[in-house]
Amino acid sequence: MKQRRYAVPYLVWMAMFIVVPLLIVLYYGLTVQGADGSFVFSLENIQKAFTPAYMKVLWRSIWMAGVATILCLLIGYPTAKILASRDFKKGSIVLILIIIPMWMNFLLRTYAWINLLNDNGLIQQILHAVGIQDAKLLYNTGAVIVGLVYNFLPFMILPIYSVMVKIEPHLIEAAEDLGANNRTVFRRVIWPLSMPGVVSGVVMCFMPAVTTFAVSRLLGGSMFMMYGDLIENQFYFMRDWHFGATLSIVMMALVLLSMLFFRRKGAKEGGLLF
Amino acid sequence: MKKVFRMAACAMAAVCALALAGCGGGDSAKTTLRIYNWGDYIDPDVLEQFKKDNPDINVVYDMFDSNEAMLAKLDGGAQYDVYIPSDYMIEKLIKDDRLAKIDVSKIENYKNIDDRFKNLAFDPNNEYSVPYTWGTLGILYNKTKVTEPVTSWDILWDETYKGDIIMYDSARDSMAAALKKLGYSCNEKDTDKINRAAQLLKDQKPLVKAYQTDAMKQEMINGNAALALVYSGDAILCMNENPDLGYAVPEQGSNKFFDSIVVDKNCQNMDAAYRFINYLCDAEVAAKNCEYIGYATPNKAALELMGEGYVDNVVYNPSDEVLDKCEVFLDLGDLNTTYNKIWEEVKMQ
Amino acid sequence: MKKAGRYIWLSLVLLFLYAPILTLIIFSFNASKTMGNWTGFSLQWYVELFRDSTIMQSLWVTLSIAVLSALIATFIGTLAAIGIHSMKKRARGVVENITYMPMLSSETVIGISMMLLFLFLGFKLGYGTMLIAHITFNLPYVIFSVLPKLRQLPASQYEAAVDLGAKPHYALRKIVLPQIMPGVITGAIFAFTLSIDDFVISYFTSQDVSNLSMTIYSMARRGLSPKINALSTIMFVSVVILLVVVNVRSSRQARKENLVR
Repeated sequence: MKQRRYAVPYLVWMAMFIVVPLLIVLYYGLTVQGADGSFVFSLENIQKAFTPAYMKVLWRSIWMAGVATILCLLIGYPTAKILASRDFKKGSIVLILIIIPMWMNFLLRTYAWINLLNDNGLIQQILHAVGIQDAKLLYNTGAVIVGLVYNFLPFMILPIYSVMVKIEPHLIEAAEDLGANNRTVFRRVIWPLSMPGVVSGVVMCFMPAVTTFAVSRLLGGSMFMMYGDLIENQFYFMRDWHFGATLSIVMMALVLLSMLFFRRKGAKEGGLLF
Repeated sequence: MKKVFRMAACAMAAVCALALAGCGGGDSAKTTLRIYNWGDYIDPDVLEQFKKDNPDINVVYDMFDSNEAMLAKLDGGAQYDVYIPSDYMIEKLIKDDRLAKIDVSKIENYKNIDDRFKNLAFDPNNEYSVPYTWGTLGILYNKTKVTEPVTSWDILWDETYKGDIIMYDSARDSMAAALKKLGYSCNEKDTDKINRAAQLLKDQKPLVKAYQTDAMKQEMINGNAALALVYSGDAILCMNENPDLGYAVPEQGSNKFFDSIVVDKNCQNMDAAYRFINYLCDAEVAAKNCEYIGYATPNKAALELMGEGYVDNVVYNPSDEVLDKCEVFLDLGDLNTTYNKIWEEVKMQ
Repeated sequence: MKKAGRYIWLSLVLLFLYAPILTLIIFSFNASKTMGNWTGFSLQWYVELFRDSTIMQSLWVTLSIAVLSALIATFIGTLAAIGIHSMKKRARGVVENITYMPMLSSETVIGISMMLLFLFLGFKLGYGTMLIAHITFNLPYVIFSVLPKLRQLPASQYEAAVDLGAKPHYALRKIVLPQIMPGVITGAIFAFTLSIDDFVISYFTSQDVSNLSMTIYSMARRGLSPKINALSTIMFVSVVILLVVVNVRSSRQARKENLVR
């Protein structure tokens, strides 16, 4: 009996509720509305999506999602490592504490952030007390990145934790016995073994972060647009579902292609990425 | 192995069956009235009372958070009978032939509506809509930060308030401020004039603290900005929370908005729709409802019931002189895209 | 020293995560309606919360959809991950890439395309369609939580068990499942979390039901009511109490077992 067959229920679900909607999006993306209201095949929207103004927004979104993902990794990896270590008893409880804030409504917690960061907010007052005046904490790139890190951090910590908690301590001891120092043990044993978790965490942070829209609107004060805002704008205000679908397709294609590239490269270098 | 499959199949089948049947189903003897309104935009007691008074109507009540989100859902094929969009959206829906004509003779309480709010430009013969709430577009300012009198749109372009101005994150409303500052109509169709207003908005960006809609209220109440472009309904909500705030409609004129009740063309039960509209136009119901919502009521009889605090409030009930200078938004047809494109550019730059 | 460093690091991370949560809890006791504008202590929002049937109904919808969609997605997703893991490289690549799609699509796009699909299929928009949509966007998170655990697993164990005569299903349940459990739990937690927080997709795929997010977002035009702060506070406090109870129990049990030994 082949284990592969366990995927069948999902494959059916996937075909129905992921692939078919994707085909609908593709259909909209590759057509425009003709004069009589019917859909006509056309690549003009694809061309339009690649014009510099829109590409600039895409690169900025990818850049911001990238920065946020790296920050999540820098904060999340040591956290997961601490929680997963043998002598830390309450790991699973702290883990739950890390996810609970995400159960409070997004809009409400973002309003709370605005409250903390605004001109009369607590953080400004602390900064004033330390002698830092006129720091602009809200409605800029920094605020949006803080918001992204905040909302995606748990999605980095949990997968890394779930992998690290099962790393065999013998492997580390063996390496130590063979004379490896702490740094070498980390670089040659712990980091490669935790890689599958890191990859999952990066995927779960980066991908949704590229398409997010409400964070930039609320914490960025709409002072600039992210790609998610742009797509939403096409559906709501421009009422051009076709172009909205095109933008969505272009983004998916670019992100997947770049991942494929990294995957190839990772495989060539013999790394454990993917 | 087989067991696992069977369980998975059962789960999936159950979910799909649930979706096909739709939950509830309801009593088939009852007629269903599907209402679609802004969130928190009706007094829950008022809605409850309607359900109690009309046991033969099965009320389905959904909420949206913007005109555009409402339209996107209707475009997708969702069906509603009665909904409450704003003026320019109503004109668009009329043009797209999606609304049913309303026979006001079947709405007894229609007489309560103030004549000032009948036959508005977006629905000139009052065939499709019954006004629900209304208000003006203006400037909310913090008296501790703005000591000069606020009389003109120019103040939103004043360097003194750099970084202290919140603009409304919406193409039509921000364009209205720019167009009115230049002395044009807020439904301007002349490309040259539109471009001049667009340039004005782009020039303004360095002075702007943020482009916001709903989040603006928290900022203004907490005294984090000096000036904001707002609707009078929001202004009233903010002024109730912070007495330092004032509201003015600039002398160059402005926009007046209406959220009105309309009936979908495919409405299955006009009688139920009329009963609902008639109920909302009842003086006592409208008074109670508008006190809850906080937005101004176009219902003259209701306003009288609400008493002096409301009648004398110039924000709530502005004089005819102010009103005459205000225009309603009209659907701009193809120019809608131009306005929205400009707004996209302002935010993207 | 090392220990102190750890606690400082964890405290900082938790401080970052809880700063806004504490803010919203504090303002649930505010007399005024606006967060940030403290006018005095009051419990009025708690009283009003329990009177608000819209909020209580949408709370019920949210929790039931979150639990159901998390359970179903975890079940299908864990099986899927086991299946995908044993696929040949090419097939695995295709399935994984398609699974990325819901994570990569803008929520508006998923919501609208699913609404179009449901209406095309003749489904009545409502609780069921909302549940299907939630399961769909939960699945990738479950799959990508379980897959790394499978990659970590030595294949030899399962094969040895099968060689020794265990039925494949039995071997899977007794050998593989316990070892991938942390991944399964992570997946379930993610699914629950995402479901609780979703607004856009729920908005487009439902009619006549609203979850808490839909109620809260549509409330925003007239200002978020501190009733929502009160609700969040209650939710937070109950989860923490639950955690403490479970923790005290399990540590008591552990102590008992130690004594017996």
